Amino acid sequence: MKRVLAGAVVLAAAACASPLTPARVEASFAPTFGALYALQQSQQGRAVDPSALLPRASCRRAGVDSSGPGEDWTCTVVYVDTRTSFTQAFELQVKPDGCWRAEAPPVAQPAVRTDPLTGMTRTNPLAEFDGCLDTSWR
Amino acid sequence: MASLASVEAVTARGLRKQYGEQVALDGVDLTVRRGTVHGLLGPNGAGKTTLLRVLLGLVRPDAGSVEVAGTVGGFVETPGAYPYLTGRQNLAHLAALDDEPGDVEEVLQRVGLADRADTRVRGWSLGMRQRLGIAAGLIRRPDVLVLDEPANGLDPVGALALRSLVHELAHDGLTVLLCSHDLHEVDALADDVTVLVAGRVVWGGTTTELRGRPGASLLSTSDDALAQRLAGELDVQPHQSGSLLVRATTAELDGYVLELARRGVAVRELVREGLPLEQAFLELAT
Amino acid sequence: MRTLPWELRKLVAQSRVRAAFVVCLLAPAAVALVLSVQSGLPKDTLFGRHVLTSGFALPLVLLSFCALWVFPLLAGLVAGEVFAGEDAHGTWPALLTRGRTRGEVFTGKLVAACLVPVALLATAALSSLAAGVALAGREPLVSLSGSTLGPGRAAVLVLLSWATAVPPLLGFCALAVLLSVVSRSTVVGVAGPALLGLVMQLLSLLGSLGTSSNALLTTPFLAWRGLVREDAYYGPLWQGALVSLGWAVACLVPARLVLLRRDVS
Repeated sequence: MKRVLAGAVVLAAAACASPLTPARVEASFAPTFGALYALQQSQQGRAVDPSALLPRASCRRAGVDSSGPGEDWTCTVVYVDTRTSFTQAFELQVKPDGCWRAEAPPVAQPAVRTDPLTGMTRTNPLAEFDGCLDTSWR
Repeated sequence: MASLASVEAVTARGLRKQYGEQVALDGVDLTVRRGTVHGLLGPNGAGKTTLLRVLLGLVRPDAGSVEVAGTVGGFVETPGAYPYLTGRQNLAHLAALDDEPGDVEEVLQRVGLADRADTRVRGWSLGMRQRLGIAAGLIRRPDVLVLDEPANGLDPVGALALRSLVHELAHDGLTVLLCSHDLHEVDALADDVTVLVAGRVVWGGTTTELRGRPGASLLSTSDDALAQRLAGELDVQPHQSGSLLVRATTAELDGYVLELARRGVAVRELVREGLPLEQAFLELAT
Repeated sequence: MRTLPWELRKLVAQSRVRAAFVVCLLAPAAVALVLSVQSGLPKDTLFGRHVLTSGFALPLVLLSFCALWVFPLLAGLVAGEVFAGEDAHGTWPALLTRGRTRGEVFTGKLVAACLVPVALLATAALSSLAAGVALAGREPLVSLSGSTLGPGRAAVLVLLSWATAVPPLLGFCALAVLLSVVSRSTVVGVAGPALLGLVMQLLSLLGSLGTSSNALLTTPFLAWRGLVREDAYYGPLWQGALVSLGWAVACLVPARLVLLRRDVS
């Protein structure tokens, strides 16, 4: 009887467990960052290959739960550009449906960039961006 | 297809239907002869509506069987229609679902709606909806037409037109099952009658037979005491009005009056209490 | 299936169905108009920040909105009335005494109740795409994986994304049919799916169900997010289709049984 109960509890816990784990968030965030970084650089006239950046992200929650939706996620991404390693930190709001929104501190990533040559203003793709991860049953 | 050899248009045996505690039909047998107008009589709650619903296939009986030779059409209680469509559209829409529908115009003509059928049913009176219900039944070109209080909501002219329509239909060979509270109507139209009380058939036979049942009459004579003694086997009782109450069939009554005259008792007043059919019905229904 | 054209004609004759088509046709244009004059952007919705930079963003924003508020309501509006409406007008006896079996009548109504909402969805999809392109042009779209999608590919993905909403929409139609048949009330049939949709959305939002929320009928509406990106993932799409099918069967089997056995009065 105890075993059945224990089994039921485990099942219930598994069923209600959140698929929004740090590993999954990292796997979703890093390539998105890489692609958008390449976009940002191409807007400034530099051609960058996103796969050469080798972005690696480390995402953590500030609160008690390590997984699950929340506004307290932080992702730090490390990438390589012209043989130099760079780090950038983003604040993430992860929603229950598996989609997240990343915001960079305005000092690191200003919202709008003005092209010094043409004077055109353009939204910085890395200031605020969205992404989604797969929350289906595995 | 209906077999030409069969005489019965509808045969129902042992129909039973219960709604919770309430028994609507308690072993009902019904036979409707082909080409006749069959009247279904009974007080409210007798189970007439349930019986009609079973015949139309709207209600599944708990027990018993129903056989209908051919297609059955018609309506029970107030016929429904789509208020956002016109009368013509309603009929055309229903006809599109039938296997071999009749002609919409012809049917509208027959029920007297041809010139008013292009307005939305939303604004129609009860009488017009009733006619549309009949039309919806007729458009099926049924072998058996089931009509539940068809004259309900019709003015006297309309009711008369309906009566002649039913006559026509019966003439054309259609079998009509008519459920009505109006005994005059049943008396005028029906060939056969089934009387239903509390879910049971209490009487079934032809209208002639029903009329032939003993009726009540009030009799005033020159010598009531002698008249009573001469009654013999006839049921003659003193009535509170001072006259005598005679319960007898028409034939018996004729014989009694002649006998009284022979014995020197003069008949001063003879009043038949209501229609024979009404009398018979009231007797059976109580 | 003789009852199907009849049911469709009856549906299209009703003013609320026609009104729904007009709304699906014009509302996206109205939204585009509002966005073109006001200064804010719907940043809370995916692709909201891009509505003025790429014409393919607006249809996806509207898709998210419709999934939340509109699709269950559309299902209820059409499918929720198709059965209960006969009860409201008292027309079951007329309909069931036509020589068509109850099974035929059920199937005809069901198919009509599913075709019309799908047609409404298609109208909204095409109208949204047109409104988006009119608003911001056929510019490349930044996908959910950060990559840039060319206009041709973006257009295809937008239409496919709208198409992925069809299975859960049909699931909601089945739910509306069940509510409509069992309650015999047009109010329950029309409002029920919308309310249940909101309840499911709420449960998903609270996040308390975890992965179990994949079994809700509103979750398949999110499957399109796996498409509009590089390295597309289709897990939510297949699972969503199965979940929708499961809900549909669970709703339609009892609904059909109830109708076939019902005493009509």
